[in-house]
Amino acid sequence: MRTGEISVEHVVAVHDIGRIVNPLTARSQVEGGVLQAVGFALTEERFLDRATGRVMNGNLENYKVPTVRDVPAKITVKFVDRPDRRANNLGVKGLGEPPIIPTAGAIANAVANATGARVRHAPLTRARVLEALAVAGARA
Amino acid sequence: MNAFSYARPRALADALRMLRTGAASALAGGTDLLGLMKDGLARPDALVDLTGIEGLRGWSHARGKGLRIGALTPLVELETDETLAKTMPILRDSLRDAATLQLRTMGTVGGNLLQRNRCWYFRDEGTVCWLKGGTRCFAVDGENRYHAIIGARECAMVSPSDLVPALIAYDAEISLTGSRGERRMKLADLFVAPHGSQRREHTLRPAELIVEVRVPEAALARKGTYLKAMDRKAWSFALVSVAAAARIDRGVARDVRIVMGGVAPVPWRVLAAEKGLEGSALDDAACTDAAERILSGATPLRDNGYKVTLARELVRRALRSLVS
Repeated sequence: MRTGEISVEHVVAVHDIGRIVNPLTARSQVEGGVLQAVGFALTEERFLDRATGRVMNGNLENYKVPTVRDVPAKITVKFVDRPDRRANNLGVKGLGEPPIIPTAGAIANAVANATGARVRHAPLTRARVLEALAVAGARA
Repeated sequence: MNAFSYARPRALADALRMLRTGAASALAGGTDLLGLMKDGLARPDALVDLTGIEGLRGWSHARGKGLRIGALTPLVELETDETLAKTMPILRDSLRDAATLQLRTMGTVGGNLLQRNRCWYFRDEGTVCWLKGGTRCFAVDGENRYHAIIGARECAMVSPSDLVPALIAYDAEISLTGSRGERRMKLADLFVAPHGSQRREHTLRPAELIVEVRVPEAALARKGTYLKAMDRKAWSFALVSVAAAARIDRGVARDVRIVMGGVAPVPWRVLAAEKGLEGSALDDAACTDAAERILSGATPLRDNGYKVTLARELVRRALRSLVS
C-alpha cells in the first residue's frame, strides 16, 4: 500500500552554457532552477473555480511553492564548459530557464522508472500518483 | 479591515466582562484571527488580548492527577519541552509538522483548538457560502480536492488542527469559563459538523473562553503515533492525518483510539473500529480491517477520492507502529 508521496533525492543537472564566467553564480543559477522545477513537478498548481473562473489559491497558503524541506538532498551540477565561438565573441550562452525545462520531466520519468506508474500531468500530486499507481497495478 | 478597540486586561474576570460587550473577540496568538480580520471574515469591534492574564500559560503534571495544559501555552512549548516529550510524546509528534516554527511560537493551545477551517470558499471574502450565511456549499460541485470525504452535512469543510486528533486520542477534556459559569467537556464535544442553524464548527458559547486542557493520567500510559500527509514536506495543512493510541499490555492493545484530521468537518472517529481492536495484537490484517471500517462510510467528491486511499494507508501504518 502506498501514500503517493514523492521525495526527490538526487538531481543531476548538466548544462552547456558555453564559457563559464563565474562558476559560483552559474552553479547557484542551476540550483535555483532545479528547485523551481521541483515545484513545477510536484506542488505548484493554480486552481480556478470552474463555475466562476475565480482563482481559489491566489495566496502562498494554497499555491504551493517548495519549502526548504522539499529541496533535493543532493543536486549535482556539471557544465560542459566549452566556449561557443559561434554564439558571440565571449563564447558565453544564457543560463536562465534551462535548469527548469527538463527537470520536471526527469522527475516524472524517475517516478515511472521507480514504480511503473506514468503520470502525464504536472504537478505529480498525491491524487495523480495514487491514481497512476492504481492504473499501473491493474495493468500488472 | 474594520476599526476596533484593543484592551489587555490582567484578570480573567475583566476579560470575560469585556467579551460580553458588543462584538468583541478574544485575541491570543492572533495567527488565525488577524488573518480572518484582514480577509474581512471576522469584524470584531473590540479585541480583548488574553496574553496579559496570569495563570493560563504553561503546563503541569501531578502524578496520578493527569496533565493540565493552560490554554495560553504557546504550541512551541509543547513541542520543545523535554519532560513533556517523555510524558506525552504525541504532542511533539503532532506539532512538528504543524504550520511553521514562527506560527507555532505565536499560536496557543486554545487558539489551535478554535481555529477556523481552511476551505477556500469559506476563506474567500467575496464568496457567501452556506457556512457564512449563504444558501449552498460551493465545494460540493466546485474545487474540492481538500474537502471532506466523510461526515459532512451542509458544509464540506475539514477539521484542520494537528494537535486536536492527538489530544482526543488521549481522551482530553477542556475546562471553559463564561458568563454562565464554568463547565468541563470532552474535547471531542467542542467540535460539530455544521448543520441546520449551527453554522459554525465549534460549540463554544458567546463570550466563553477555554481555560485549560486536561489529559487523564490513565491515558498517559498509552503509546501514540501521529501521521500527517501533506502536499509538500512542510507548511501545509493535512490532506489526511491520523492520531492512533493504545495501551499495549502483554502484546495486545487496550483502549484503542483512532482519530483522523483532514477528512471530515470534525475530528473523525469510528468507535466500532476502535472496539474491534480491543485485545488485538495489531497484526497487519487487523489494522487493515480497522482502516477499512473507518472509511467504509466515505462518500468522496469529484476531486478528493485519493483521500480515501491515503486515509486507509495512514491508519494502517499508525496502528502498526504501536506494536513495532
